[in-house]
Order: sequence, then structure tokens, then C-alpha cells
Amino acid sequence: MSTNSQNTVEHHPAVHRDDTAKKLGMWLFLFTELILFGGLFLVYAIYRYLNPEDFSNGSHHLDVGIGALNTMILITSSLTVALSITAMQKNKPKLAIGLILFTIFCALLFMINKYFEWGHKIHYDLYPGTELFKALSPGEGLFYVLYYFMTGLHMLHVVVGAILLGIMANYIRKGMITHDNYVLLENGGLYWHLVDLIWIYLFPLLYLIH
Amino acid sequence: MAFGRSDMDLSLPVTLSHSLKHEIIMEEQKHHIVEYLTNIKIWIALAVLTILTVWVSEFDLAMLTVTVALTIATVKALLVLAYFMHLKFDSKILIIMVIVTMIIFLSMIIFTFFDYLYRR
Repeated sequence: MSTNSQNTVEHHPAVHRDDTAKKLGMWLFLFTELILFGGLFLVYAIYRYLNPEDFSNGSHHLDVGIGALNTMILITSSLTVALSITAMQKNKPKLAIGLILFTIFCALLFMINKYFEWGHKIHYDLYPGTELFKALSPGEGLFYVLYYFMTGLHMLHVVVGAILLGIMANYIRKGMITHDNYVLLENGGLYWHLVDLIWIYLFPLLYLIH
Repeated sequence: MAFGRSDMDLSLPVTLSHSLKHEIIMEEQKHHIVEYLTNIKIWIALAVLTILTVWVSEFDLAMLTVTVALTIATVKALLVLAYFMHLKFDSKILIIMVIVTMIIFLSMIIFTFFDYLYRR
């Protein structure tokens, strides 16, 4: 019995690859991420419904300019990841690495913007626990708590995505991702696009709806 | 006997995967390439929609504000899903799974709102 099964393996030495299953696995993970943020969107929607004026006041104090700039940065970084996959498919690994490095640069720009945005608020004592924060109406307090938590959790995903893309660039350099085996890069790209996708909803919900 | 059984369990997937291998490799070869230009066009569309949503938010649309903002965001999300995330060109099963996840998410929101809207 045991020799039989060994023979089966020896007859087909080629390592079987299943790109569709690898992508499907990645998508399953992305669904858990969507539901994670979905829960927060639900909390936001309910509290906005219960405190419409406080949430409106809160969103008036956010800087639409910085939010819009960060949206543009993320959209551009999403483009360069998509282009890097096209470059890999066309067997241009150096171009693909360059595009990924540009994406990581965009991620850094995004984080620098966030640093200034949060830094500005923290400078004015606008964060949970301060006297100023305690003086806010409960609804406005909720708005800022959700603002910090949702953008903070999104920020964590930006950091993780940038690290993942760095690993992918290194894999291309080492020849572990090639023009006919690039599903890893596709999956890394999918994660980055998810980060973009969540921001596409966070931006109008937090900054634009007054 | 016990050894024999565990071996059978192991050999089954190997044989199965072999019988499917030819078919799967054929499928893996027809990867769709999204051209550079297509990606750039999608990026332009996303940028225009971002400017549009910021511009529209300057006006007082009263009840429509949320609807307009979320509609534009959803158009942007669909562009990212279809082109950047390759859903338009990948296996259809992924599209079905995304739709099912969206239905789960939307029912989560709708049923919670039923609760809040009909309290008191």
C-alpha cells in the first residue's frame, strides 16, 4: 500500500500549482477584513443616526484638504501596484520592483500626512482623556473616538500592506516571483487594494458628510 | 491495517489532483493581462470621482448628502474591485463570493437599523 502511493507521487514529479485556490484563500481573508471594518461602519452609522448634529460638528473640524490629498495618494499607490502586476506579466521585473517601491513611498507619504493630521489635534488636546475632550458633548466625543479608531486601524493596515509589498519586491529580486508565477504579488496587491477600498469609504463618511 | 488506511487517505488527493492537473494548468495559462493604459484610465476615473465628491460636499444637499457621497464611493469601489483587483477577469466564483459577503454586510446594517428605527 505504502509503495503504491509513493509510486503515484514519483510518476508525477512536477509540483502542482493552484493559483485560483491561492487567490480564493486571499479573498477569504479579505472578507474577514471587510466584516471587521464593516462592524465599525455599522457602529458609526448607528451613532450618527442617534447624534446627527454632534457628528456634523465633528466632521466640520476635520481637514478635508488633507483627507482628499491622502485619497489621491492611496488611489495613485493602488494604480502603481496594479501596474507592477502588468509589468510582471510582461516579464519586466525591474519595472515591477520600481513600481512597488513607488507604492511604498506613497504609503510613507500617507503616514506622514496622518502624523501631521493627528499631531495637530493632539497638540490642541483633542484626544480621549483630556479636559477639552471631557467638555465635548457625548456625540462629538463618540465621533472623535470613532475617527481615531477607524483611521488608526486603517493606518495599521497601511503599515502591514507596505511591509508585505516590500517582501514581494524582495521576492521578485530573488526570482521567487516570475512572469509565469506571480500569484504572490497578486495577493499582496489585493491586500493593498483593500486598504484603498476601505479608505474610499472612510474619507466621505468622516470628512465629507457634514 | 491502520497504516494501510492512512496511506489510502494520503494517496487519494494526489490521484485526484493528477486527474485535474491537466485541466487546471490549461486554466492557469490563460491569465488575462490588464494593459498599462487600462489601469491608467481607471486611475483617472478614480481621481475625477474624488474631486467630484469633494466638490459636491460643498453644496447643501440636505437629505441627499449621504446618498450622493456613498454612491460616488461605491462607483469608485466597483472600479477598484473590477479592474485593479481583477475581479472582472478572474474566476466567476470570486464575484459570487464578494456578492454574498456584501449581502451579509448589508443585512447586518439593515437589520440593526430596523431595530433602532422602530424603538419607542
